Amino acid sequence: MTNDHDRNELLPGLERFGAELTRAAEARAAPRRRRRRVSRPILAVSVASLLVVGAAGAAVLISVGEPVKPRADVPPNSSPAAAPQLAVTARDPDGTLPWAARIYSTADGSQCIIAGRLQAGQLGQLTGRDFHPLPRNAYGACGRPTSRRLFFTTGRAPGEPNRTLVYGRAGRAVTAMTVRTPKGEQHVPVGLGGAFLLVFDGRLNYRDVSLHPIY
Amino acid sequence: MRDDPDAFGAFYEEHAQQMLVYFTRRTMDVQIALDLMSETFAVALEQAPRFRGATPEQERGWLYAIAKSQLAHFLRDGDIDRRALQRLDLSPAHLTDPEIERVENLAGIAELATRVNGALAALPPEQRDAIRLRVVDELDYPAVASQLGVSEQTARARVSRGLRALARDVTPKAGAKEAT
Repeated sequence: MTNDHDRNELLPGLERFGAELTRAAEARAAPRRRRRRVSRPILAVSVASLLVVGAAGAAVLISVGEPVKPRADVPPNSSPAAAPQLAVTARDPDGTLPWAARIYSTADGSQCIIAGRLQAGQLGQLTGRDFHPLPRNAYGACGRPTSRRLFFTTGRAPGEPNRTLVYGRAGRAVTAMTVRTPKGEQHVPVGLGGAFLLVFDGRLNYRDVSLHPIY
Repeated sequence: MRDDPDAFGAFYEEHAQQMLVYFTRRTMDVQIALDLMSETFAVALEQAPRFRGATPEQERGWLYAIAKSQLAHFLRDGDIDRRALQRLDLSPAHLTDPEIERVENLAGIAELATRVNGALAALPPEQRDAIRLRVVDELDYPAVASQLGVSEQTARARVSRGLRALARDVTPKAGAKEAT
């Protein structure tokens, strides 16, 4: 059936849909095998007060190290056109420094999101017990979600191979979403600017994650 | 493929991008094309148990028959059928901006738009005006007829003739390669 000679490499967005489609095919082929459990609470997105989370983060014995150096190879139209805003937070599975995502728009109108550890209201990276703040112009994942759409990405923070972050932004009509992974299913509200962030213990890739908007 | 999810996954991987280009060239809109492609594969998944073909050509023909049906529904009614996606609890595929640009490049949208504009400019003015009112302004035929000061039958004829001429001028010439 497959003609590798002619096949182009699939765009990541199409691969994601293909993974969902294959899961649906598996569910139809063997419904009993595919019985899904609602997950144990892995980590819920929190849109609680950032001040509270910042205070909780400060209680962990973390020192502030050198800021992360700005990258020289910033793609065009990917830098924030205005000050980024912290939009959502999430607890770490081990209860250490929490995670957060901040949102921004670019000059060409793309909606973007960048995620990292949260310390005293700043986004950054954790190396051992040192927190390294991200520069203001650090760039993240961008898209242009229309009212009923969303985009998301999965990734791991530098130096933290056992955490998988799933984050993105949804359009105005999206109030929440159902997130399915091999670890289970959960209902996730969206935060400021349609932002969402989940943090999983272990490694997942985007083929393992499917998001279903709720309007 | 009928009962093999992995085979269906491979089938999708083989045809998804070409199908997206196919829909993009016919709708000139990647977002619409994404929805149509997603629904096409959802329908294919639902109908796969009844598919009796055996060769890659038969599989491809079957898939594009579904695609043409989805496209015809969209062109006729102006909306996208998403019932199979809903039954399967799937959201349509979504792409990032750079991915959308990549699809537009693959589909040759800029070049196609230039050809459409050129072909439109070459039409007799009465056909061009009729197409603009019907297709761009989305007026119904009585309104088109009223705007043009002609009968509804004449308005329909002008739109029909103009679209046929456009199709003739814009359709890839023999030898040009495109997914069907």
